[in-house]
Amino acid sequence: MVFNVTEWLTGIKVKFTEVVIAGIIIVASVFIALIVRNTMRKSLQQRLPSYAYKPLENLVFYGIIVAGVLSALTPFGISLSGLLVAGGFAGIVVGFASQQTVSNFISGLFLLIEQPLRIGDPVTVGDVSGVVVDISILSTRIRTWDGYIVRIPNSAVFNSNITNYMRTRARRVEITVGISYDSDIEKARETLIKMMQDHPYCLVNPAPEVFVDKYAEHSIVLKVRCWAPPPVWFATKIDLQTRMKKVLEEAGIKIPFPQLDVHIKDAADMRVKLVEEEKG
Amino acid sequence: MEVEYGYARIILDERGRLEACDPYGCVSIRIPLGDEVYIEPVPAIARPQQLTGCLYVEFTEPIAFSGGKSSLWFLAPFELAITHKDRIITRVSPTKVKFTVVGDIVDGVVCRYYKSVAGFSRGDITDHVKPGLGFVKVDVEGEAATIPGIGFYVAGLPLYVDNEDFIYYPRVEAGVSEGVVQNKTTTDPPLRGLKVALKGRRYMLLLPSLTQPI
Repeated sequence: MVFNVTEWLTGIKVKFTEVVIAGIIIVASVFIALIVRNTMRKSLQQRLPSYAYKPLENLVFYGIIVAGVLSALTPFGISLSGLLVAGGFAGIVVGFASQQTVSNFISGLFLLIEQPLRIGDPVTVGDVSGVVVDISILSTRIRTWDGYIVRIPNSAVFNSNITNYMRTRARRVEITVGISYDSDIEKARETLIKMMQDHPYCLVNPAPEVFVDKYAEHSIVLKVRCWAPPPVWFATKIDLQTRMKKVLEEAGIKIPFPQLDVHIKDAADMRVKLVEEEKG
Repeated sequence: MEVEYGYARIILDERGRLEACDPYGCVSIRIPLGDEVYIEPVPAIARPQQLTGCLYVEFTEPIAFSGGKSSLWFLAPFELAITHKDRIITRVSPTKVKFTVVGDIVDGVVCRYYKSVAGFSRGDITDHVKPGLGFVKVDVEGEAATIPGIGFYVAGLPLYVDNEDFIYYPRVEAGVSEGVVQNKTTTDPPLRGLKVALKGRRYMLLLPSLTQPI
C-alpha cells in the first residue's frame, strides 16, 4: 500500500477552505442577527408590548443564527435530513448529558405558546413572587417584591403552580377590622361602605361589601372587601387601611385594644386602711 | 391666572410656574416665560392613572328600547389636558373618578364609570350638564331591550365643541342582539356644525367595539 502524501495534503487543503467558509458564514450570521436585533429594538420595541416583543426578538435572533449554522454545514455535504438522522443517534448520547437543558428549551417553547405569564406580569411561580422581567429560551427571570432577580429554569416554571395576578380584570382587597362591642355595627358598616365608594379604585361592580365576620373576645370583627384593578391593587389596599382608622374615629366608632372585664363573684369585704405619710 | 373648573384648579403665575390640581393630586411644571399653554378637553381615561381606554355610563333610570332604530343622549365625563407646543404636559379631572368592570370579572373590561341621566333627545339632559361633563349621542339599532348603560372606547378620540362651549363625544353606534349590546365609537361629530376641540386622531382605522351584557 502506497501512501500518497500529495493527495492527502490536497484533501486537507480542501477541508481547511471549507472550515474557513463555514466559520465566515457563522460569524456573518451572528453579525446579521445582531444587526437585525438592533434594528428591531429601534423600530419595534417601543411599538409592541414587551411580552410580545421579547419572544419575537429571541425567535428572530436565534432563528438567524440556527439558519447560519445549517448553511455553514452545507459545504461539508451534511444535509438537514442527514443531520436529523445523525441527530437521532447523537441525541440519545447527548440527550442523557443535556436532559435538563433540552427540557428547559422545550418548556420555554411551551411557555411562549401557552403564555401563562408575560413580561411585566406580577406572578407567583412556586414559592417565588414578583414581576416577570424576562422569558428566554432556557429560563425565566423574576424580580421579587424586594428587588432581587431570581432565575428559574423553564422546566421548573412549566411544572409549577403559576398564579398570574394580572390576568383577571379585578383583584379583591380584603381588610379585617375590629370595633368595640358598644359601637353601632350598622353605622360602622355604612361608614366603611362610603369610604370605599369614595375611593377611585374600588370598583362599582363588583360592589364593595362589609359584614360581621365573628364576635371575638375583645371586638366585633368586620370584614371589609372591595375589588380593584390589578395594577392598583396594592395602592388601594394600603390606602384603605390607612384611611379606615380616621373614618371610623370620625364616625365615633372605637377600634378597641385587648381588654378584660373581671367580675368577682361572692367577693369578701376588703378592709382598707389609710395611713398618713410621714413628713420630713 | 387661575382657572377653576369643577374639582380642577389650574394656576399659571407671572414667573411661569404652572400648578394643576384635581382631587387626586397636584402637578407643578415650569413654563418658559413668554410661552403659551392651552387647556383643552380630552376623553376621561388618564386620571388618577390610566387603567383603561373605555367609559361606561350607567343610566339613573334604565332605558326601555323598543327595537328598530333610535337615538339616546346622556352625559359622560371628560378631562382637561394642558398643552404646551401642541404636546400634552399634564391632565386634570374636573369630576371624581370611579371604575367598574363591564361584563364578567375574568373576561370583562375595566372602564371609567359615571352615572348619568339619559334621554331620547339632547334637550332631555341639557339641564344636568355640570363642569366636566360632555354630551354623548348613541344611535341604537336592533332588538327591543332594557338598556342599563352604555360602555364605549374613547382612547385617542377627538372631542367636539359647539358655539356655547358644550363638549361632545363622537357619535357611538350600538347594536342590540341576543342579550348583548355591541358598541362602536365613530369619529363623527354627533351634530352638524361642531368644531374639533383638540387635535385628536380624527380618522382611525379598526376602532374597537365594546360588547356588554344587558
